[in-house]
Amino acid sequence: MEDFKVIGKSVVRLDALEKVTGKARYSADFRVEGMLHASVLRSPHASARILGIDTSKAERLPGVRAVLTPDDVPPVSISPHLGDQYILCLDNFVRCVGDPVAAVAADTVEIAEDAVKLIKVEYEELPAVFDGEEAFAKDQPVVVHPDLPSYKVLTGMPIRLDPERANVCQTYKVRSGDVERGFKEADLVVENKYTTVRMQHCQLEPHVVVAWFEPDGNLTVMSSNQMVYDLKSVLSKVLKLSPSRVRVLSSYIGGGYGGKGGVRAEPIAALLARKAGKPVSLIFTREEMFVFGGHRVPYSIDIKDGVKKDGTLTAREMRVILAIGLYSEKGVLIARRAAAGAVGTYRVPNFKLDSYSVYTNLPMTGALRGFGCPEIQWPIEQQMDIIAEKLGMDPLELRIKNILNEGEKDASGMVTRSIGVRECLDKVSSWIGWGEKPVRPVGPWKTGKGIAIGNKSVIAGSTTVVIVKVWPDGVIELRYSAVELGQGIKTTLAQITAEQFGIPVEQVRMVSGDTDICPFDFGTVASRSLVHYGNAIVIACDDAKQQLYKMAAPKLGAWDLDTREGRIFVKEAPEKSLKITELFTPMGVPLEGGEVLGKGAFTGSSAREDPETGQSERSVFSYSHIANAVEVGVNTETGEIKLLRSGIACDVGKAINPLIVEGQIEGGDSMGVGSALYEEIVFNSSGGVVNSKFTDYRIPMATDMPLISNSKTIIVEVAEPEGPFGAKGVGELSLVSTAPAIANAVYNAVGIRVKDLPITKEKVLTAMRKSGKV
Amino acid sequence: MRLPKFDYLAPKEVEEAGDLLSRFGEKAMVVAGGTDLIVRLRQRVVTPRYVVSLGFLSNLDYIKPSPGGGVSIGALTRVHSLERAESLGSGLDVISLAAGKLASPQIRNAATVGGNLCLDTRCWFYNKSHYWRQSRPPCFKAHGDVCHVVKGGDRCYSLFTADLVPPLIALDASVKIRTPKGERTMNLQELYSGKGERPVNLSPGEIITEVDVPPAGPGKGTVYLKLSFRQAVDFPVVGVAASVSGKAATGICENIGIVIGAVSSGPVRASGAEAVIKGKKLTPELVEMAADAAVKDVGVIVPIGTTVEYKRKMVKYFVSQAINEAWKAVAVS
Repeated sequence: MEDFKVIGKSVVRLDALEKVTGKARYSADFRVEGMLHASVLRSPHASARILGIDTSKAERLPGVRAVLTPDDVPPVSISPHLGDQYILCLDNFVRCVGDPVAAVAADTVEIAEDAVKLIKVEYEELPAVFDGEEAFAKDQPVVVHPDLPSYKVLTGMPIRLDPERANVCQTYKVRSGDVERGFKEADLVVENKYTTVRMQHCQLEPHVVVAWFEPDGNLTVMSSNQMVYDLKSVLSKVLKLSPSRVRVLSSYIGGGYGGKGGVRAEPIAALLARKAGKPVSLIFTREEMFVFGGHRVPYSIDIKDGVKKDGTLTAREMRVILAIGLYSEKGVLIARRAAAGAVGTYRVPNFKLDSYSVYTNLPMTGALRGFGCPEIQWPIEQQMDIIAEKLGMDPLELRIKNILNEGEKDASGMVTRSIGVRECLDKVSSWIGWGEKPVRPVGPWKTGKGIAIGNKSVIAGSTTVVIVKVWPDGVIELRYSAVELGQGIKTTLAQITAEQFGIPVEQVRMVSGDTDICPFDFGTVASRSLVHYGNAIVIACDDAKQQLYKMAAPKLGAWDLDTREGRIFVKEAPEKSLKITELFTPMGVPLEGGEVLGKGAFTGSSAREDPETGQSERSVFSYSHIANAVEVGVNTETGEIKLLRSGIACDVGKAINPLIVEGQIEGGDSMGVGSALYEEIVFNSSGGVVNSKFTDYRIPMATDMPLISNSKTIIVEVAEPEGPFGAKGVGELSLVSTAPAIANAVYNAVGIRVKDLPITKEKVLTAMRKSGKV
Repeated sequence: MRLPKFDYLAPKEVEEAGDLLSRFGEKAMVVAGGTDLIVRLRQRVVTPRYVVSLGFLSNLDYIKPSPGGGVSIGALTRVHSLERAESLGSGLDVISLAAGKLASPQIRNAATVGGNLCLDTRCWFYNKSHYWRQSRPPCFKAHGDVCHVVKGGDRCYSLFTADLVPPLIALDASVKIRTPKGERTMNLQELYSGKGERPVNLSPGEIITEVDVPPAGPGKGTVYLKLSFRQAVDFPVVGVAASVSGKAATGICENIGIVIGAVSSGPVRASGAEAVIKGKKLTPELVEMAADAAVKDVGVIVPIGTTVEYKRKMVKYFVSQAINEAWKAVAVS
């Protein structure tokens, strides 16, 4: 084991003090001279043609500075993959309740909101389709995008439509072995249907943007976006500005969870700023967040498993329908990524998966912590328990038997490596006392235990660049474009940088939040930041060190040098050393080269994927693994579920800052509990979100989690060979298998299985009454 | 969403507050703790011309024992104070327990007892922003003529959810009201109209100043049971209060009060259920019969958050639980 100075230590977060004292600045704290405030008019109809828009009254309202209508919007898609989304509704059709129709910039938010109410829109209402399976059907009642076949494909990613299904905007296939043969070989075949629902991220901070044009015509945007370079590229495209003339600033972000990885508010603010000739701020209301801030994609999954008497899986076939809503955004990518979740844990010799992204007349979906993986473990991990019971096997044993081994090819053709799920499973099952009776039930309460496992991968083939600058006093500056959204990336990257120079974290200066000075990054998404930044930082630091060593070598009379605590020394003779300061003139200029700037770029490995079989030697960059073990109480009279004990183990490769990792795991777990028990966006019969506020959309409270003394967070470290210091991603991993673990525990307690999320009291009670078991 | 424009008035005396409210009538609304009104203002559910704060009125924040073991509670007493009160009197601790079940510590610190008594009924179609509501015709509560909860409904079916009310009614509490003409006292139960459009029977200018709870007397047990979706910061799915008096020795229930919240547009007194039990020896069969009667007492259930079937089952279960638990308290007293 290498002896690290700061890596693996729970150093205090660099943002801790400013955040707990309320001094940290978020995008909404940002003010620009002359700033206007915007409000968006959204469609009240799920599907309609706009016959006319009359903005005259709004424009006459004192204080209104600009009104934006679809006529002002360039015919350029803001969607990353398919040309199906404009800044305001596409081609004068609205396709969901909440689709943006017009926007106003005014002196105050109040005036902007009043002005929006004065815009008169004449609609011709059209039929709409809400249900994913109905929209998927060959005789779909409504085609959401009749022009879909002619839409431009904007991405390197293949987009495959289904000629027989007009609402399908992406199909994805994985084929491995022969499932028919696999089912024939099986002694038992288990087939079921499962569904998941729309959730909202519920970030404390909504989408926030301030946009303005500089005197030279360049655009500057301050945004709470998780993908600053992606935003820069979209803005440059829609505003027809060279990317060199678009600057994106960012500040601390009050929670992202994938919801801020798309482009929502920014182009509206930028167009308004151009039209008004003044800076424009747009802050989504909480209701807008619930309606148009993005939802988790609802899945409907048919799954069929074949298994031998001894528990060996022989085949698995899945058909997954993703009802993505009115725009493709990330929905076409999630259809692919969900497959990684399905193949990353178990050995399935014969595997077949078909996933479909389907348009409906409901709001946009997209990334929500897990990017399709929690949704895919929901059926798989319940199937494993159903199979175990039918075979008379221990569910723990069944899982262990089928877990992929190091070096085995998974069903997508990638060689398994760094798989710590067995260790996770062993640790949580031993903590929960698997095999021992659950706590004694009291009164109407019955108790039970459940386990589940899963994985979350880091996307392959994405790039991150950093710059390292050495200051004359030995301070190391890191310029990077990851955003700090609470996950602790600022501190973690500072630790890695500090380690490279053998200095304390306080000696590192972190510079981020400005695309004018910080280099390219794919985005703070996909649990990718740590692995990509870690590697890039090591490369950049080496580059900077080489520049220092080149200056130091003649002075020290040796070439084999190292650095620690602000000194450069000869490896063989550490007493021969000099201070980094000595390599700079009294004016602070290095003796050679003008500035010591190290550059580091890292692109995660990837490999070509066969479009017919989904086979690829490198379908993902890395896999992280998780196991949950929970104990629940179920009230047989009311259907209430109480989480009594909860153990969670995550294989993160290497915990750079263990306390931050624990925070990620525990935060994710509570989000998982919300997804399991409470969270669901409810629509009325005309497609409007009914529970668009926190009173009616319930996220778990501290009281809904087990006591700290009844919870256990376990970090497992099975090193990823290509990860920095062995590290893998953790941000999304932590909620992947919470819901099925709870579902399995409920079954263990009262013998009923809820296959449709969330596991509400009412569903539990109804199922218990129906089963007659309790 | 920001607050709409209104004039904020902060009278120092009850009389002054009453005068302002009489003068402005429907144009004025009252704010005390603000935990409910502020949200509705922000969503433009209500847009009063004047908001009259009661927060500066003196001498309405108190918990005083009354002769014989009862308690008088000032209307501006914080729910938190009620929750933390040392002792409200023999057999009245249920009020503290019910207070502790309301929302969250932060909200209980701000919310007042009078405010909870006057809590407006709610509905997930009505308590929405202007934008959301404009896409549908106005409902009865918004002075329109449809109900979005009950299709074809001929009245407003919004939901009454105040946690303090069922136990206080079960304990026969009354309220003191300052009126433009002086003061009147009203049985708490009579404060509620049962009508979603206007659930509280107060006229403009009337202000609740005090809640009086009579002595529980010996051999009385009272409980309030609440089921909610999650375990904190939530309105009840069902809230049931039962107050039972009798003699453990005989097993006979001499008197009983059962009040059910969150099923209708007002608190529901389950008189049918009470009649089943009153004067009889308590047996499991009788409790079951009473619970069935309570479901009938409730009648039409508002289907918000859960189906009617689920709520009906919960009414039945929690009424029987409440009777049993209240009787247990009698047995140990």
